[in-house]
Amino acid sequence: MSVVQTLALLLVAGTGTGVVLSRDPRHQAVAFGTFGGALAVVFLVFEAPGVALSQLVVSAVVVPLMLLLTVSRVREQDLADAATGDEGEEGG
Amino acid sequence: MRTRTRLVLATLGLVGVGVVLTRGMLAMPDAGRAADAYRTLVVATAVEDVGAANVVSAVLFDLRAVDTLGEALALFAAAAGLQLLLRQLSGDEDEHRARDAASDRREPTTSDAVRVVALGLVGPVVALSIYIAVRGHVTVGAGFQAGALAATALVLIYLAGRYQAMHRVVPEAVLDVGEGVGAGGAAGLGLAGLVVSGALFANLGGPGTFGTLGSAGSMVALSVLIAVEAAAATMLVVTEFQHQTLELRPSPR
Repeated sequence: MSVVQTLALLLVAGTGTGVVLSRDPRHQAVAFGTFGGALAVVFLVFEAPGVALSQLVVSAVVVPLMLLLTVSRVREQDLADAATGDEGEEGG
Repeated sequence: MRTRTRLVLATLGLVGVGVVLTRGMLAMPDAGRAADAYRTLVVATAVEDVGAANVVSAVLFDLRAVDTLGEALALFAAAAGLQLLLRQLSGDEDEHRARDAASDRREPTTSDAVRVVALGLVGPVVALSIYIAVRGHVTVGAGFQAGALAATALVLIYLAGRYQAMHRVVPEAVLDVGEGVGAGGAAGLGLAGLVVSGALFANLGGPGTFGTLGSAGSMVALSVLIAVEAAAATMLVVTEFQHQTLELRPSPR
């Protein structure tokens, strides 16, 4: 295993740990994007450029976007509940 | 469950997974050093019979095109299922409508820097997507990557704060049609191979000149169809998420 490959794997280990250690879902979404980017680098240096491309697009763009949209929806619901005084109502 | 019990169970699980993983990894050949008969056969077939310089793409879009169709259909089912689950029923009460339609509704602003970068990237990403869709058999990537890139281009328009522009560029009705045409077309191409050559996804159009745009026959058509399917399905999923959060909800009919 070359130096570059080792460094790329260490980067994945570091960013992956970062995702686990971040508690706020908004921070997690961004950390997960970085983690996805690091994985793309690993695929690239292990000679799988096609997989790296999919990884980059899906993990750094689409998944964080869905996470953020979901967080946003939940927060909107919380704000609406606080405004109307509904405490325990489920989001529809 | 008590903390101690959890700790013991977690430790047992982690140690077990660790042992299995480590043993498996040690038994693996070094990266890029594996040598087996299948690899040798696949490389020869991809180059000689399919005519594709990118052997990975040849496996995905010709030799194992059936698996790729399965993947495309899984994506199709996921997008369709999400639409089914999140659809608005006529009986649903619309608790958010008043707030969504309020004239003093606060709209988040997008910074100029984000807007310039996002909109500036749209053109290059679209170009890259088309390039990868039609050249997957020669260089890197193929249908799925191209589709995901096309979806990214639309997401970039949205990131620039142009939510409505995003849906004007590609309306939802077009996405629905694109998803159907992509998945249906891929299946049709497989059946065409069956009819013409007697094998599902048999390559139509022959190998052609190796390394050129016209090589690898119908593999390129499958790549483009899968790109359309992947882009449409991804955008339909993103759109459903956006409906949940951003949209002025239409009144229930």
